[in-house]
Amino acid sequence: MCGIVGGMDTDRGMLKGSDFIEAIRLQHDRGNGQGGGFAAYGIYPELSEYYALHIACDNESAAQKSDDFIRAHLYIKIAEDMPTKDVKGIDWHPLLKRYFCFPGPSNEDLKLSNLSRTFVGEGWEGLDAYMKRFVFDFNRFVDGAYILSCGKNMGVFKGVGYPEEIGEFFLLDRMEASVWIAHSRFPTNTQSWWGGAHPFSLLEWSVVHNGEITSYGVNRNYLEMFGYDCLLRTDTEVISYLFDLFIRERGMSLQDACTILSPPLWEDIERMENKEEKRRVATLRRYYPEALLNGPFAILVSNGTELIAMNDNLKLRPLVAAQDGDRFYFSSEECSFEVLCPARERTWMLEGGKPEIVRIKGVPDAA
Amino acid sequence: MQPELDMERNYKRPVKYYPVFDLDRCNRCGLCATACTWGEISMRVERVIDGKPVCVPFANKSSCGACHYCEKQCPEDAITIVEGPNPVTHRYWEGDIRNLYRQVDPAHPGHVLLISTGADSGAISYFDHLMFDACQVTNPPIDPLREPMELKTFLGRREYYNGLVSAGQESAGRLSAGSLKNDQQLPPVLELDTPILFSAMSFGSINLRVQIAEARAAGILGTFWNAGEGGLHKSLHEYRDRTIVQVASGRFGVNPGFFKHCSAVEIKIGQGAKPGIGGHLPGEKVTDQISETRMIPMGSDALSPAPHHDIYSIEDLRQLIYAIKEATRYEKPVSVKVSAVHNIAAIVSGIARAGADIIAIDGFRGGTGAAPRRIRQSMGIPIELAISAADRRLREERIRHHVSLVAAGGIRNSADVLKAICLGANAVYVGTAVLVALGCGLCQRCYASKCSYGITTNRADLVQRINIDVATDSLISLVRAWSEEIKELMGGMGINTIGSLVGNRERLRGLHLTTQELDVLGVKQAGE
Repeated sequence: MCGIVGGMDTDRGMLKGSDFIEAIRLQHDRGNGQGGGFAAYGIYPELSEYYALHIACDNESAAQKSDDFIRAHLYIKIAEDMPTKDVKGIDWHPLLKRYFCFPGPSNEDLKLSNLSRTFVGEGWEGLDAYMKRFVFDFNRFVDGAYILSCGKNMGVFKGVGYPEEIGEFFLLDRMEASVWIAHSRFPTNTQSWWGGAHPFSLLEWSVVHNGEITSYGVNRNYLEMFGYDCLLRTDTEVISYLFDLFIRERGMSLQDACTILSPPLWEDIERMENKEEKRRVATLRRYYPEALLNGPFAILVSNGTELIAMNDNLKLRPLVAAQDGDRFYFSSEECSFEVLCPARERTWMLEGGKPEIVRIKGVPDAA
Repeated sequence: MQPELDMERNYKRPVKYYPVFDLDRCNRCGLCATACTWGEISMRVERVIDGKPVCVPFANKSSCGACHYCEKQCPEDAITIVEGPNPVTHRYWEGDIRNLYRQVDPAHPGHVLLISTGADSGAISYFDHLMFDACQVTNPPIDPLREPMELKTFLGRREYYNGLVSAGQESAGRLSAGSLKNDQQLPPVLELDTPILFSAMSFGSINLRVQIAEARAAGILGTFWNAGEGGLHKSLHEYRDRTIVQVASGRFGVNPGFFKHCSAVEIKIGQGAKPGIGGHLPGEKVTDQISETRMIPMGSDALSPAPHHDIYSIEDLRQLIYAIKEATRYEKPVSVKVSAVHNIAAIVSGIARAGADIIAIDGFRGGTGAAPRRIRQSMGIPIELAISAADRRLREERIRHHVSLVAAGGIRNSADVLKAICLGANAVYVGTAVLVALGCGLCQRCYASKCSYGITTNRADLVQRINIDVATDSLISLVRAWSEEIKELMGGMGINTIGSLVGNRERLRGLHLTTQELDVLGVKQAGE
């Protein structure tokens, strides 16, 4: 059992961190203090061209190795300690670092927007692809340090503790963001550690998850074929990688990607009246069975411009939604809405296997 | 006259099995003697009543192979097949002494021992050492009686992008939803309602009635049957939507029409029971129908050479694959069937790169109509290890999605099916189970063409023992029962679609296996 909550203002308004801390606090019993975390978007507007690395290091020597590794592969605009404060309940924490950086040993004069690709080893590749490789190399080669998030203008704040403690620890009560997702953990499969708390993130994608991915073995096998090393000892990381694979690498629409991850049952596909839709869904199911997520799950996924809420197709985990004008919220329990949107005009239960996608106004799904 | 000692009698094999008749129950009907096709039972006059002889059955103790047909047919249940008590004192030689006598028997001097069905050696069955995971507390099991359980399986090439974007390139932006290639451009696939197919058994090794039952059952079950290497008899053309045909080294029955009456074509390189060995259907078995189907003269031996005479390496296989794809206008998937041998991972990788859509791997326990006993017992490797190694290699080479894998050879029950799938198979072929579903008692003498059940024979009088309708229903029952059991297993694991188990070794744990064996299987030790 875990608790999740998330929200977005589709009119680009900012949402208060303190509300989300309070919202997840209301789901206290869904967690057991073994992990909590938040992902926040739109939080580094002045540095939005730089990849923001949030890094946790077990000790000074790991921090030094981490710093060396980053300096060898990235141009660093800012390197700093993550601002935190002492909080009751968090007895120990890793060294937390924050870097704003950019692929390649370049210099600051280089106009970043002109540089869309970088030369690495065998050829030119996209900056995002470079960063993805960097993250996997980092997690593999730098012992005792792990990247919590690496997207632009976003960050993941997570650790071992109750989420309300983690939120306070990272000073999120003073932060505003365009999208929030939060998680309270009650781990059942893996031991708790700071890197194993949710959200999981890769580039701009971050995920919180309540449930268990029983298809994890298959999903991991598939992702490893495309260079995604699953080293974080948890089933949830595959979700963010699948979104990255289908949307960034393969250029699919979010709708197609969501269908692949959580498709309708075959018997429902057989009954579809819209032939085009039937063909789309059937083809995706036929070709991507390894990317289908099986098992009970409620998931919130975001990339900053979109917020996706998904349930397994048997609806084995709770997930409710609420709308308050331009603002949309999702939660494991309706009680959280009493803090986030007491005046909401609509509250509804998500259907299994039917993803709900909320998007910032004016942004199309597909080009 | 004083009996004489005879050196040739030194080679008389100790009787292993024979029927015992309960004469209190026996009604003297004589059906057993008619039922026995092996010459084991004869009727002897017991007494004469009113000038008419009354006969009782008598065991000749010469040729019983424990097929159990007489026992099953006896209306009074008066027959029991027993294993002979003749001891062989030397435990090490116990299994071989009869075979050795057979090879020096003056009646068949110096012959290669033949045998049928799959290896019966005591080699470890890895299936028996694998346990499934089940849901407890943190994750609800799913009740297959209440929730849909999906066994739908597709076999074929699945390499497929949305079109414009290739790996490593930054996308120019997202494509609109559903912007897929046309269906025509997608590679052809086989759609199965359950991941169980009927394995290749040729017309010749089995008879037409059995093949018709397989074809009809496959149609009703939503799966496929494989016609084997003996061509496709014209009466089977109507089942083309459910038929996989084989192109083997003998090229029997391969003509343009052959390619029209099938859903997929399988190139048979090898067979688990006899890797690297060809086949030989003796001329006396080549009846008019077999002659017509195989396109060889009546009465002539049908020889399948050990190699394909146009395939001496992988590039030749590629040419044959594409010749078949051209002949079928790229509308039908091409499968390649190979035996599970030591280097199977590299072989499978080569076949995938040669353009195959499906690769069937046949483990050493796979059945055969006839194979040299030494080959059957000691060549090849178990399917569990082979499928796991192949699946892993294809993933390491990042081409796993280019082909589907079908596991074959020794699948005895639904748990074996699912374990093979968890080890990396997309589906399984079953052959021996099909025969058993028709009554076969596994006496391992298919090569003799005297099958008392009428399954592995084309003798006109014996073929009639197969009732096509009953046989069809049996096969349907078999696959339906297994499918239900698979759903139960999946429900316990909390998985409602079979695709989420293909290669999902996380859901398996090993018992009594060495670290190295666990390593090859990719499975963790139970408790880990």
